[in-house]
Amino acid sequence: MKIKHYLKLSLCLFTVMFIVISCEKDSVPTTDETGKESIVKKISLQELNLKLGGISQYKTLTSLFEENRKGNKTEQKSLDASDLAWIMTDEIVMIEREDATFYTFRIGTQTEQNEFYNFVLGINYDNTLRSMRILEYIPSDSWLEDTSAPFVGEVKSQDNIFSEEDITNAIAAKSAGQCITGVSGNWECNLGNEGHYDGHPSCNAGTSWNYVVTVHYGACPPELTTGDDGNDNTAGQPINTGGTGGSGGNVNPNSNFDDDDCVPTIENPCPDDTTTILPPVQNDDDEIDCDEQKQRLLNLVNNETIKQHINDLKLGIHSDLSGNYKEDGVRFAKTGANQYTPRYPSEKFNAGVDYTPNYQANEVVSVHIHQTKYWNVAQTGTPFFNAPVPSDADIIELMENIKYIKDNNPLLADEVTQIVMTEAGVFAIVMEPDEAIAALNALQDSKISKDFSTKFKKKVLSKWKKVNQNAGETCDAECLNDVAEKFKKFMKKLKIGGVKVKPKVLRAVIGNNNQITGWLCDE
Amino acid sequence: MKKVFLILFGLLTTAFYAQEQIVPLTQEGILDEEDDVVYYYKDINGDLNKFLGTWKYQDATKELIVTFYLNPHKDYDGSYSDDIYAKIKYTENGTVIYNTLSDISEDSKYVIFGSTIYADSLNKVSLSYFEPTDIAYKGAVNPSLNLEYLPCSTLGCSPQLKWDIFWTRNKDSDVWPFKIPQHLTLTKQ
Repeated sequence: MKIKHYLKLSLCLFTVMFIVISCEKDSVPTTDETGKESIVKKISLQELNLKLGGISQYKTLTSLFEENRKGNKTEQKSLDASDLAWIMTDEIVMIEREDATFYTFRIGTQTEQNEFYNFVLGINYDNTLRSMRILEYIPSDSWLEDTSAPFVGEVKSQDNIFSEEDITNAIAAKSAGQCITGVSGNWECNLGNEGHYDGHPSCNAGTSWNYVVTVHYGACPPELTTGDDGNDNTAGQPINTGGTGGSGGNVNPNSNFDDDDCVPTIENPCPDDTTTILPPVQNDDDEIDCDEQKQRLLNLVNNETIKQHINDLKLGIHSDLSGNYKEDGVRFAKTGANQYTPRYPSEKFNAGVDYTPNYQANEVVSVHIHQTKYWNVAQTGTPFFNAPVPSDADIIELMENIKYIKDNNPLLADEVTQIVMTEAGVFAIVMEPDEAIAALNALQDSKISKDFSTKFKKKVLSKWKKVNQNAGETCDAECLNDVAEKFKKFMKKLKIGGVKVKPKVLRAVIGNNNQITGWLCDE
Repeated sequence: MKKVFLILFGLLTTAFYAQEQIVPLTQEGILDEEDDVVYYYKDINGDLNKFLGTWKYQDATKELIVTFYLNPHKDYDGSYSDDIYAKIKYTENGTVIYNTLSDISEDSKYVIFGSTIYADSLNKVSLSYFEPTDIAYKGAVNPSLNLEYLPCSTLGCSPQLKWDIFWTRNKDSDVWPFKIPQHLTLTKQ
């Protein structure tokens, strides 16, 4: 009986066609429109947590988020281990209306079909739950050829996902028994000028735009509510929503949301969701291959130019007066097959080196040392200690370098490598460029940046700092190894602003002749 | 599509915050974390409570009022900690230099925050320190604020709080960028 009830609720499907041809090209900007803030914003998971953390049902939802899923994907609580789904938080789009705010997420699946799914969470203006729905997008062949164009295809809704009795009845009531009765859409450039395509005078200052979709819900047609199977149903009633003046984004303050049998009228419109389409990102199976990196890095450190510099630099790790107790380093531009040209720092500091300019084209290898200790004579007569592992600043520097190379010579972006030599060992870090750049973008938010720095101190350096701040104690070999392991663990789980960075940290094997003879890499 | 819905349906019915593993706050930075576990470093014994509330330092020219708040279950991108954060008002020669006491924005929680505390020194806590100074700085490490709680030893006195800003210059010639004094002792209000 219960299953039948759920299935009945799930039979709410209309076929929709988005036909968008040069939409809004005749729109005329008005003074009121210019300079408005976009209603479409991308927010990080952290921001979402801050906004919605007070909503009790949200905690339940967060357990479905990709990063909160325990174990690997094949161990998830799934009904079919070969076909998993989860809510992705790599990109969360927030659309604010007067009456509600909608958050759109991708849904990750392990299937390779063309259709894709978005999860749309509606929150009322009073910060109460409004709706939770899954939208299925079935793209047309023409859209698949150019996914940057406005979506053309079918949209379906599934809204019984929270109707299990373990979930509160209130949630179920808010998401049940409604069908899509219409879909409309409009362009939204990033200055908030509805109905204007990119390049329109009102969007000149903008750098991006979105196609905002409003999905209207109402009573399900009888023929769709009496079905008894869970298969997809479509009613072939294409609706032309594009190109006629930005009809989407309807504000609906009198939303009749609790009325499952809502019949829309002008005075009493049925509920609607406002969302944007988040198509799937390229699958992320392209994780960095450890074996490839081990060989590449071995070749790198066996390059005569690089090897010579590494040998020179390592003398400064256990610094003394001759090393001036400063960090030191060198960067290499790739100037041919296995050919590297060095560039030296413009200034060396207690903890850091400066290069002018910061980055250069083809400069894909950066090597530097962390000397064991340094003095601030003006501050104290006792030494300070430099981190025995790459620092949080080193991680950011690598991301910046990757972004620079990606912008200037994308073919080399995969080769950007940071090598840091410390008393705890020699570490090489590599990252997938897209993740590195996404994380770097997230770090532009000062709150995320401060959290990252604080987390690094907590997870990696706190024990080491405690040892060093106790007079007379130094970090022994066991302590150094512990810090190195903490660093590797931190990197393995590295997530910044919701972006899983998935870096690889390789640790050099040092042979009897004090040379690097291999690399260790955690799979 | 049906499978996708069924899977989410199944996940929703069983996933109630179950993935978090609660660990004492004093274990953060000590524990060898497992790869696929989300940790919540929780102040199970209330070790942070002694730092909460309003503290004050005052001399002839300077006044610092600090109120520490608990920020439970703070999200650190994949793990959680019970944290504290501070709102401050610093006055020098009658001029208010900083005042975040009535600031209710999220940004105000990011001036002084954190919770590094160890089981063998529960009266000490180390926090991240981001004083909103207008003097640019590029230090060897990001600054920390080390606090030590000094309990009252006589009847009628108030507990005190040692305040030490830890930061090292990149060069000896670098200017100390912070306006709030580096070492202070504050009194509980």
